[in-house]
Amino acid sequence: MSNERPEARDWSDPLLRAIVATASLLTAATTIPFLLYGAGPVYGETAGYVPVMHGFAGLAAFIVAFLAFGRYQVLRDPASYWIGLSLATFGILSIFFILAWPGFGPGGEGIIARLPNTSGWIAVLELTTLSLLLLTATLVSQPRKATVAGRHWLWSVAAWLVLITLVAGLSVVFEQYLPAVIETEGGLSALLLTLDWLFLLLFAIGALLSTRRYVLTGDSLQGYIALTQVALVFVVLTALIGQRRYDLWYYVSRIYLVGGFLAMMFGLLSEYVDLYKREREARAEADARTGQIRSIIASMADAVYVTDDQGRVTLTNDAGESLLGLRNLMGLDLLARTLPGPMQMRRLDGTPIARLDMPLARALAGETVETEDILFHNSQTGGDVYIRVSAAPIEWDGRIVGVVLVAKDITELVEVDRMKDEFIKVAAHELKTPVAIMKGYAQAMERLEKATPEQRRNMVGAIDRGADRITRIVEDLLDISQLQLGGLEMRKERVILPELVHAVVDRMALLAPKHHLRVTRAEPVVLTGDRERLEQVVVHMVENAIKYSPKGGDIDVAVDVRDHEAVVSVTDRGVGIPRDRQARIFQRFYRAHTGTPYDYGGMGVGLYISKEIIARHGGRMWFESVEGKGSIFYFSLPIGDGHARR
Amino acid sequence: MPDDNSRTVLVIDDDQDIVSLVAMVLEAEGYTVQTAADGREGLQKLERDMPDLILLDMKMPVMDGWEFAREFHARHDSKVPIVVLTAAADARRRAEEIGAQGWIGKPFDLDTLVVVVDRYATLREQ
Repeated sequence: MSNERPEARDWSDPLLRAIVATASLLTAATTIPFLLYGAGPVYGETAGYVPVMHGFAGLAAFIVAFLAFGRYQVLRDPASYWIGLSLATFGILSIFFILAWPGFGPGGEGIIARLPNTSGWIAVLELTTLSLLLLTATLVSQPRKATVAGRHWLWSVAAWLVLITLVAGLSVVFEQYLPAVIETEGGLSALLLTLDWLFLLLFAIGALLSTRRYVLTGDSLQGYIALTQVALVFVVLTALIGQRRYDLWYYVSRIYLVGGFLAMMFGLLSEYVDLYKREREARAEADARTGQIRSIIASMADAVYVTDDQGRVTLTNDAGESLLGLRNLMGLDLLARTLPGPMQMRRLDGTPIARLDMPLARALAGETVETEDILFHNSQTGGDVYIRVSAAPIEWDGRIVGVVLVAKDITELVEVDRMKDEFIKVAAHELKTPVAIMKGYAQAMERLEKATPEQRRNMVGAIDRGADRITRIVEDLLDISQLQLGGLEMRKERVILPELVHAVVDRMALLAPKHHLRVTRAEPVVLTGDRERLEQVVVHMVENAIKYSPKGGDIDVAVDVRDHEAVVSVTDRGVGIPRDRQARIFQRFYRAHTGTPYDYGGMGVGLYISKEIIARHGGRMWFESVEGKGSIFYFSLPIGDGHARR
Repeated sequence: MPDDNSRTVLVIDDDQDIVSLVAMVLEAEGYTVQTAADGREGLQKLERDMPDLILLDMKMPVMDGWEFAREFHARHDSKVPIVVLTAAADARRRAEEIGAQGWIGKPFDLDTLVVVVDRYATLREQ
């Protein structure tokens, strides 16, 4: 077929074998009886069957023409067209032949018998058109580059030469009939018989050419043309042998004629089946591929929306449905012309987006939107969702037929980003005060010449304290960033918990004269942990206790042992934590007292870091708190295998 | 009791070190300095004497700078200028927000502190 890549044929090809087999068979079928029976008996009465036989041939020709024209409609190849033309012509002419047949019509002269032996002339016309048009069909087919080696072509030529020699040889052997050929029934018949030799030649050449074409290009249609022309060679040959007497040979020739057309019919029909099968396969493949794409889209974690050229959804996936909080999105107009009320899209800063600026609208206009961050207020779920959208137009045949949108929920990313910005702002803010102190006192030392040594001592002390504050803030920042990277290595040391707790309490009691800091219980327990980090935690808990009990008071620190756990608790009688702030108190950057009178500043990272430290020791941290009454903060640490007592 | 010849400055800030620093510097310049650790204490100090200038930190526990300014303007029909003392990046905006006359950002040069205090502490007389 003209759509395929050419595939040269060799002797393993069945059609090629069929051509040669047909030629051989027909040769045998013609030669052997001829040798046995000579020219054959004359069947006068059988003349009545001639139009019938011719009728069959004509019918076959029409069917082939129909198939050939159909093939031309689909493939638009010239060969099919000319085949159709030649067989259609033959079909039409065969009708005339029958009508002109003596025996039909009044007076036994045939219905259109104007000339003597009209049917004879029509037969000539039939053969002429058939041979010439079939030749044309062979010649106009576009040969592609032949990749087959020359020797296959040579073998075909050789085979045909042999056959022609055989035929010629037969004539030579039986040359006694040749003069009789020319002298029969007046000049016309003689002319007819001579013309038969011409047709024989034309069909032979045609068969040769078609076979060559077929061998070189693999175009099976050429193979079937070759087969038909082989049959036609023998049609003429048998007519010649029978000297156009309507006898056995004539019938045989008609049989060959029908056979030839049947070969063509068979060829064309099998091509149809082939075409049909290929189409079915292609469609199945297309369906499978569509199915594949659908399942890929369905299983994507990002939301995918495919829309038509009006922005209505034609395909989406589960992620797409849950993003919008709706089911059954098919046909939904994403341009929001008819979107339900809950859907509002805005830019990240809250300003509304003009419809024409929406990624979908821009994509429909031909622009590929790489990424655009949009705030989606979904009043169904009551929240704000941040979405990263990319949109691209789908083009087909030069037109935009739709858009594919991919959307990803980045709410968490945005929140984390905001927290980070917030954190940096808060940290910078926190740093300014100790820096101001250091700078101020440094300048003051320069400026105040009359300062007493004690005053100078105080100033220097303040500078030192300022540096400490900065160090604390910086360390907290580093801890946070390390935690984020998954770091924070805990050392494995032998820690005597009560000792640690006492050390902390003693140290901090000095710094908090207003408070009564004491260790109420300290059960002896030794465990493995990072001493410095654990100290950091206890210090932080005590600091908080001090900070959030501004009126002073008791702060009790205790170490207890329960069920293979050591529990450290710090109790204060201060301002407590408001109930609605308690849930998030261990969250990074969260500050429970903002907006309350007890906002003592800070970055909101201390408890977060403490909890992480305890967690990495395999322990837990928790608290109890009543607003206005105070808080107790606890942490527990597992004790290895049984607890070791001092 | 303020010295009749000197001007009085009320410093309201929760950071003890800042308060000490500012007090020390201003006293060396001849000012009388009063201090308060939060807005509420500041209001209490005002009840006794009106200073010539208030240096006000914004972020303080118990009563912050905003609330102090509200209360101050509500209770006293006073021309005492307020200068905001703050680490915030948008110090000017905060000052405007509460109707303060000026602002000093932390960290600050002592020279700047003194110049600003000098300028505003004499304002009341005009």
